[in-house]
Amino acid sequence: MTKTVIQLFALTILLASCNKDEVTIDLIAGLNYNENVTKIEFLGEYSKADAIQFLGLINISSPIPVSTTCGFLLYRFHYKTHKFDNTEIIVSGLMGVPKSKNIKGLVSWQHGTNTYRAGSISTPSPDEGIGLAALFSANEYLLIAPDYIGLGASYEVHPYYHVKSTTNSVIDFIKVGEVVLNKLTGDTNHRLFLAGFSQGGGASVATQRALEISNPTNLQLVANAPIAGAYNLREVSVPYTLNHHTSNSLVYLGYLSNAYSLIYNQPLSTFIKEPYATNIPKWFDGSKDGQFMKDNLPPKVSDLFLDGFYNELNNNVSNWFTLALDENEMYLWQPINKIRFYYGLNDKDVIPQEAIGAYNYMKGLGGNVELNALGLFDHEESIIEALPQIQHWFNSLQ
Amino acid sequence: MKKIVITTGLLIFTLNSVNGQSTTENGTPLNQKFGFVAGYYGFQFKNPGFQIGLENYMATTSHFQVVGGLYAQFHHQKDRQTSIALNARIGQRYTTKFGLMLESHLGIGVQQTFYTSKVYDLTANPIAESTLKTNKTGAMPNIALGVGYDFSKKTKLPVTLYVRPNVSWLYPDKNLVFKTTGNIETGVIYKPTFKK
Repeated sequence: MTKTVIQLFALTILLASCNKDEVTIDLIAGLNYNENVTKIEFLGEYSKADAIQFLGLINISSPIPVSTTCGFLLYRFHYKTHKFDNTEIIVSGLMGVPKSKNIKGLVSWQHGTNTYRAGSISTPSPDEGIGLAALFSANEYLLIAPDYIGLGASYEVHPYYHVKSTTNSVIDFIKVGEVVLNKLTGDTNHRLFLAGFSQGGGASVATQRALEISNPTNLQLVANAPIAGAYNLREVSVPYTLNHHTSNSLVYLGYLSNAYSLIYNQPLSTFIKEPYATNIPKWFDGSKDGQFMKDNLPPKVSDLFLDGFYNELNNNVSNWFTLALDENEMYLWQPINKIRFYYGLNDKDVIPQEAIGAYNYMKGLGGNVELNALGLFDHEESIIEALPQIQHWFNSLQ
Repeated sequence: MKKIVITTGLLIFTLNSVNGQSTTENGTPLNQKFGFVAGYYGFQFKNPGFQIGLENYMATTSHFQVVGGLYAQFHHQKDRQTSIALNARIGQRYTTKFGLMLESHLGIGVQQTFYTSKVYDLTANPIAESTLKTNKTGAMPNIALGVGYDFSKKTKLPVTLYVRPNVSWLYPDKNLVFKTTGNIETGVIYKPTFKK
């Protein structure tokens, strides 16, 4: 009896000590990215149980069940892209790699407005990067989430709502994701899914348009799920923001002014009042969070813009700014692959008219587009409500 | 050296000399107050570590003991983390006359985790590998269920072998989330009995 127990004990120690090689860090670092990736950082490893817990903590409580099937690994990639003037720069993004061999495809998630580098999506937090990885990577999708230019590892001016710069940083990361996907699955014919929230909703739609014009990958775009995005900047987004004050109105306009001032070579002092013309570049350099902006930007939009410029915006007069808004619209095209616009009926930051207007225009052209009203949810609530639906939708397209 | 071994042996023998002591129904001596624990601690089962601990038998009934314990735990996970933890537990242990032991414990620990993250510089040729180090202190509630064999029921050996899977929740982990892990503990409990 004693001998048997001792033998069982020894066997238990032996089994417990077996260290199965599961390290994929070296594997991922050793892939050929055609010199497009400069650095890879390992950020963490989470189990299926962790994923279930994270989704519970961020209060995903939709009647549609969220599916969680595996654990995942998180990496930060530093990769090359091009900014508005075509200069090559290094940016970063988060990658969530499922611990599964049955990867369903690549999900590119485009995040919403963020002014704070420390809050970049590639610095994963439970309610953003880790939560999204729990939703998608733990359901066997390879997740990528670009930081965009000016956030994460990039110290450039963030090109807020500049379509070309944004789609560059998204598509260049999709190309990186494709290399990893090919290696992990052993084949080269994969599905691509796009999704994003707020600024990222617009970025997702713009990325789809860019990919349908010219797709530099072998990935087949299957579906796009923008949530509460702004698509018509000149006729809907900016006029609404000028006339309906929310806690974020000035943040959006300040961010946009800072970006367009640089990209369109118009000094801030020619359209922004002091002291904001001096302070805005320092405030929107990634060092300040949203609360700082709300505390320090003026209470009224009319206190931000010079009077003449403010009147021009209010009267939709064509000037360099309104023409730039036109140039960066995201809806005047006919989508071939499926887009489903998600929006909250109580959204005061990005009004339902954005999604409805984009849907009507695209549908009128015969585009492959659907509209999904989430219910009486505001801007922030709409993402929580939409995400389980999006996972379910993507899974139904397998 | 030889002297030390002999002295230690005599001490252990003395501690275990039971002179007319009373026992419970399953043969557990009522004057058994402390146990010393040493064993393997497998973080996520497969990452090696060890634990040592001291148990206090707070109450003993016919088949049960209420066990309070303080354990020091250490583990290492290659390329990920190394940690040391101090874990306080309270639990109950059921032992049959034949020596089969079943137990359950609730614990709360403090863990200092030293994280290592590999960073690859792909611009270097060959690829340069470095390590980013961070550390964090976290609270670690845990539950454990165990099974084992108490040799003292059939032999004179005052030793129990145990296998004890546990689940722990560490907060915060390096990304400020609750980290759930399943782990395994296996080892030896040495339970001296003291002369009256």
